[in-house]
Amino acid sequence: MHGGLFALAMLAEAPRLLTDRDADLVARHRNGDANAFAEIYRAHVDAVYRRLTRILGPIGEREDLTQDVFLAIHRALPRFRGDAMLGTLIQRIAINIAYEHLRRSGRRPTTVVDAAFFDELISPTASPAARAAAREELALVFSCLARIKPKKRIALLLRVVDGLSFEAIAQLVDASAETVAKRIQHGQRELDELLARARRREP
Amino acid sequence: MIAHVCDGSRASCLGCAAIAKRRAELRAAMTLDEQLDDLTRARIWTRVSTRLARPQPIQWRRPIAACAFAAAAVVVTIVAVRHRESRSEPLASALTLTAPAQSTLATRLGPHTRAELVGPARLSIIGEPGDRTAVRLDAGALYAQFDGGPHRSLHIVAPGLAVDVVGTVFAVEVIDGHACVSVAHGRVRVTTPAMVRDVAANQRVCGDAAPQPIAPHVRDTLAHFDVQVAHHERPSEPAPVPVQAAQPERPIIAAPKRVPTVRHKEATPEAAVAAPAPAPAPVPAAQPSDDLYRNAEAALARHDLASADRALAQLLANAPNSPLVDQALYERANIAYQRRAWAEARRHLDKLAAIERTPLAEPGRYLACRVAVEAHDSDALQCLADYRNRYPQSPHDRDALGMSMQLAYADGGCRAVRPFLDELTTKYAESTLARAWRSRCSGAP
Repeated sequence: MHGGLFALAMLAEAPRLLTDRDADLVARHRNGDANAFAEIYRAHVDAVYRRLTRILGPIGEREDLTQDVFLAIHRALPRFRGDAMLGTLIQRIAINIAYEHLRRSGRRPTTVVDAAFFDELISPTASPAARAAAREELALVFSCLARIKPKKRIALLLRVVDGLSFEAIAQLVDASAETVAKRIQHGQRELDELLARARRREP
Repeated sequence: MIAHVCDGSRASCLGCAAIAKRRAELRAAMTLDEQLDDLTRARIWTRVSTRLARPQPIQWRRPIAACAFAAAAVVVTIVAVRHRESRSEPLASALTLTAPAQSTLATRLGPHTRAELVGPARLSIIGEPGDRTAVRLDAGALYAQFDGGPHRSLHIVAPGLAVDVVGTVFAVEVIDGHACVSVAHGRVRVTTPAMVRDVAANQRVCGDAAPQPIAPHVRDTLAHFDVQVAHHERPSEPAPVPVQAAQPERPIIAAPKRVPTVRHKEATPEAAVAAPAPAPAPVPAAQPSDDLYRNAEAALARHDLASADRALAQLLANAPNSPLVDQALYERANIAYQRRAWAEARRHLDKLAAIERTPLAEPGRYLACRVAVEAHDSDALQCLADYRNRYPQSPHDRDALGMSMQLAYADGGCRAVRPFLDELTTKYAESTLARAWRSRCSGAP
């Protein structure tokens, strides 16, 4: 049903075909090579940060969470059998950390995204009134997004922002493609309803 | 009746257009701020390597964990009963720590909290020291790292608010009788008479005012404090091999520290009370490097390169042994690069390269190659090749490859680009760069 709906291949993270090199790095790390984990970090830190941003938005905790992801990777590497790409393992860990963060955040007030961030998205040539309206609109989108359950939110964003296929998302979130499709559908519907409801409340 | 799936793909459908617009906004919002800069990358690595160097918690096997849990439950029950009994009694005289002006008192607050009290400051222990620690900060600034865990808590009472900490690095400052809370990592809960609010990492809250971004000086002091605590906790004996193996580079990229301090010997609260309050210590000459680096950062934020460079130059002259030296050199090289002052940039980068095990070695070498490219050096291509050999997993690898191709193309056209194109097509097949080069050179001999 959703096949070919999101022509976002340009935004999709190109898979890095470094399987041999990654396997070599993991082996070196296991053998106590002092530089191997630093190289793994250098190779993947940008992708981890990007993944966290695309799921969580421009929140202040991303640096801390990136750190948590690499500590988790360090713990996971001894058990890594090499039956998947290292990049996939790392992305899964990043998504898990983001999921845990969202789950914890669900019990707390929503993290407020710095209003200054919105200004970067808004055309500098817009009138003050238009800028204020655009800022409110963005804040509304973020607040509605924050009210969607983490699993649906993650599936929706992996699809809409990254343009990943259901199968690719399923591999990353450890679910079936059908489940992922349902999460995306429900997530989208909830987002639309929340936005519509919020706009009706506005004067 | 819906005749098609409204997904934004049909331009003729108004509903679809609205959805497409909303998704485009969402994409724009979620992808705008996703790039890491070199300094942030290095800072995160420093924290990772520092954390990895700490002793790892023992992995209990399940039966042992179950026994331990049962034993802990018994202990907690006993403690809870005793605590309830003791609550009816008035507290014994509260233990008080006092830090004189211009001094810093390093201490522990209970078994799970390392703290620095920046004077003039006064802090009282209002509960029994233990897993559940409660203190009152009447004046000054408290920087603390609390290791959270089951049945642990840290409760801080300050003028106008109370702070409950689950596990984090944070600061509480009392300024003119009002308290502000800043959080570096983790999250704390702040309770005022009017509201209860969670303060997240990189946020600062004063009383009931809305959260603000953490003040740069507090953030820097907390980062410095965090690194200090990590170093303090590092075991003197070598850690197990895998842990040490993960720490190949110099484990410090320091953030500037705010307060010139006199470091007293670390004291427990009890010891501090047993001894008289520390006498006012002689004030040492202020270490200017932190302030200078902060000034440089502020100048860079307002694109005042000249002022930033002056501040950094002064830092390097005044504090040649400061942990900020590598950052200052890198920033100065960057500034010189922006000014197209190639010789000056190289001078700074040479000095940076001479520093052993700095996490800025990789970005420094990359910048050196960019300087070589911009300056049309004959060995620019070799510089990039060396860089890519040395850091094959660098986040700049694709850009370095692109620059190599540009240089090769200028020298020998598509024929010279061919070996690079093969590599680009293999490693970054779907990148815009690969597409551009394929369309430029795919038909060429």
